[in-house]
Amino acid sequence: MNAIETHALTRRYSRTEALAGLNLAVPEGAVFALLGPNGAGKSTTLKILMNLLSPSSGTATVLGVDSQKLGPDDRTRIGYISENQKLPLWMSVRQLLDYCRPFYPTWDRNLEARLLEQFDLPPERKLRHLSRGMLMKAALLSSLAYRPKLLVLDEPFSGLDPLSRDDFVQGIIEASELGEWTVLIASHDIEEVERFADHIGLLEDGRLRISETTESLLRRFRRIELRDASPGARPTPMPAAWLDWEQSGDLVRYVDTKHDPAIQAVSPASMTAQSMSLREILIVLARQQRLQRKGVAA
Amino acid sequence: MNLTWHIARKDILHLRVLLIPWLATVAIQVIVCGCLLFPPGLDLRFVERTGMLFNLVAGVGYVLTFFLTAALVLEDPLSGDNTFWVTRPISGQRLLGAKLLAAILVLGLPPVLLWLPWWFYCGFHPSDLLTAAGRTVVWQLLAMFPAFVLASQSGRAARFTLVTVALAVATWVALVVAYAYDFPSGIAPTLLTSRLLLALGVLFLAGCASVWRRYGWRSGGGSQVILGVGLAIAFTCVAASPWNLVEAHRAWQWSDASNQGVSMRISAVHDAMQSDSRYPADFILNVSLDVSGLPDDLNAGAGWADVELRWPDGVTLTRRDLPLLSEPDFFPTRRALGLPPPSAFHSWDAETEAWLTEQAVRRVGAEREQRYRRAALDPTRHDRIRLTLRVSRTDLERWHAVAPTCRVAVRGELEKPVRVVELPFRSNTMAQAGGVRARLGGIVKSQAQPLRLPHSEPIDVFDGTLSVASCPGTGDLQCFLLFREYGSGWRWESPRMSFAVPLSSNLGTFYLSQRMPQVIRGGAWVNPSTSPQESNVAIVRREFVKRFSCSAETAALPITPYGDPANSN
Repeated sequence: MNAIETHALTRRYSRTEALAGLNLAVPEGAVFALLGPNGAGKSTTLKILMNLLSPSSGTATVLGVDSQKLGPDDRTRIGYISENQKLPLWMSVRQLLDYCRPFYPTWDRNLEARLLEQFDLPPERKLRHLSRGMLMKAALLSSLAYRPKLLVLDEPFSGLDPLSRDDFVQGIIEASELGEWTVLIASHDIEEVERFADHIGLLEDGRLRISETTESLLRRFRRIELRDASPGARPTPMPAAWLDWEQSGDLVRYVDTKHDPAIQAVSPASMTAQSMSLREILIVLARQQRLQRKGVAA
Repeated sequence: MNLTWHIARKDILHLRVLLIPWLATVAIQVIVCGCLLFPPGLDLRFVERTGMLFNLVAGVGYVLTFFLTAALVLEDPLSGDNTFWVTRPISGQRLLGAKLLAAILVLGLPPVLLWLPWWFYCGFHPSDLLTAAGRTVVWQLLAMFPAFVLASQSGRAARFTLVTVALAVATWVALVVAYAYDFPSGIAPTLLTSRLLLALGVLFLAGCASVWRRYGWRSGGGSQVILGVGLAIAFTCVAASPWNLVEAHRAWQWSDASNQGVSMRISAVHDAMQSDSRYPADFILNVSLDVSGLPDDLNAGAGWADVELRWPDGVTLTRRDLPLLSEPDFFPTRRALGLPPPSAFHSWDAETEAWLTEQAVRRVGAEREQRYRRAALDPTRHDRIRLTLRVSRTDLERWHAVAPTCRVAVRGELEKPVRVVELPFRSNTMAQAGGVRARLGGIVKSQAQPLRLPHSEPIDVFDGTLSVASCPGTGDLQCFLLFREYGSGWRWESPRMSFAVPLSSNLGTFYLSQRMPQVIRGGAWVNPSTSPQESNVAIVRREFVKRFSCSAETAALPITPYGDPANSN
């Protein structure tokens, strides 16, 4: 059962296509990170899912409801935090919580108190006097206290200093232990996301390039180094699963996107396979995308 | 409803600081009204300046209402995808309900509450209170509605300000262009009024529809199209609407009006002394109508008339919906004031009357003696109605050459003078009744030259102020100085007056320069202060009773010069 599904979701801004037939599935209970460079269409996707934008074509369902028909009742089950969301800054943290509380029948005052303490938020301080990190935590608190089924975060780390990022990530990790909810987070801060995301979706030019569990992604990507290679060892044609090929003297390096540990066992001693971080994987994929684009242009 | 109130309460909480200066403007208006009711001495400049201050503060108050309404709406903007409320379980309809509730509670109700003590002090009846409260809220809504519509479309404070300024400039330019092209010329005033009302109605409906659309669907494009179409239709209405709703309404109002036994004759038409500066090529004529057959307690009041002139060669001139200027006789007023009923109001006791007439006749000459005596003693009732006719030079010359026949159809109102309050003619006295509170300020003997007309004996003149606060339904109030011992009374005309304009009620402070109601005893003026009975000041309200319609026709109506005694008949 998927908490979020999109089918051929397209959104055009004048002549620019922000989303091009996006098919996305976020399983229920997953912490799904939608990654991609700036302008990849992450925020547009989230805004369509939240019914803040209309798609040009295609459909999206959120918690089983057509996103274009999301009503107040559905929103009681969804939490949404965005980097550029305009919070009522004249309110204090307490006033914000007091204001939000009556809208949610499932609001948990004990959880609210716990999170308030956990996030170390000063209840009487006006939102306009909070640091950006504190502000995001206040927004997170106001979106967690009613135990939403789905939490949607749009670039929550943007503009946060490292300490605030850490606080915020810690907040999400701790909060995720409090209940059974699905989290969809759009970001280009890969390191932060890697800490808690169990699913990764890579969006590029409005298309979903990768969508799988973090574990599977990290397992199948390996940086291969082969020593004692003969000059001109580059295979023709290059296997589609090999990316980022480079040779320097007798040293060959490439990224194997379909690494099989069984093969590793029978490969020569001069061949080493190093695991890659999520950041490295995404950089390789981005580079590959750029090369492909250039090739198409040529 | 609980959630609607919850959102409204949030908005009220947010606006509470901004509301303080606005509430101060309302409070200042109430205080200024109190000051105008108690002006210090005869300082007319104080009265005038305070009246101006009131109107200025009231204007500032309405401007603040406009911007506060916008702030209320922009607290939860409807445009943009990053506003807080759109991601929360709040429907557009609920938000609209909350905004309307907050607007009424914050901007509609407080002025009513702040004005209440004043209204109670002035002795308003419950129905007057309702009327005053309704008026206050309606005037607030007039400032709130456009702000609500513009703010809901604008989404941001900067854009709202820009749109407001642009609209104000566009309106000003439209007025200038209309004036430059003499736009209303040739259009009947009632038709022009109808067009404006129609345009305002269209704008109101378009505004409501666009707001509803904006909150219901958060669709900027759709709601702006509705508003644009509304503006276009409103513009078309002003420029070319053929429907005369005002006339239709009047026709409906007068549909069952009969002449009620009232008869009318066209007494004269003469050149007016003044001309209309806006139409210098045209000439103004005054047509006088004598109305008789009125009940003892009623006067012929305001209304409209249609005039048709027909020359022997078949040329006709028609003017429709000319406003009537009523010159009622004072018989019903004397009756309402409990004075004995000679027809002329400015009558004196017999000894003074005889002395004055003799003096007047001596001054003006024997040839007018008859006229003076008749004016003083004529016992018949005849209200006079005047209307002004604007004609071209060609028509005027034709009229001078050959007198046309004239037919006048009048649709008028019958009014009953009712005494509202009476207070002694003394300094610093006050009385309150019937939703009117009146106060006489300092009354002192004037330093100006004493009056010597129409007689040669000087009469003392006294200066004073009269402040009158009244409920909205009282309409046109008249002030009379009564000298009951001699059965006399004078309509108290004020050479200068200053008005504050509390739109929920009326308030005027009048400067009075009045000869005292002295009488002749043994050939000398006697001051009323020596009289055992004091003179009083009475305030009279003219109450609408019913409508009447009648017509009159006369053959060969010549124009007579202004001031000709023949016109006075």
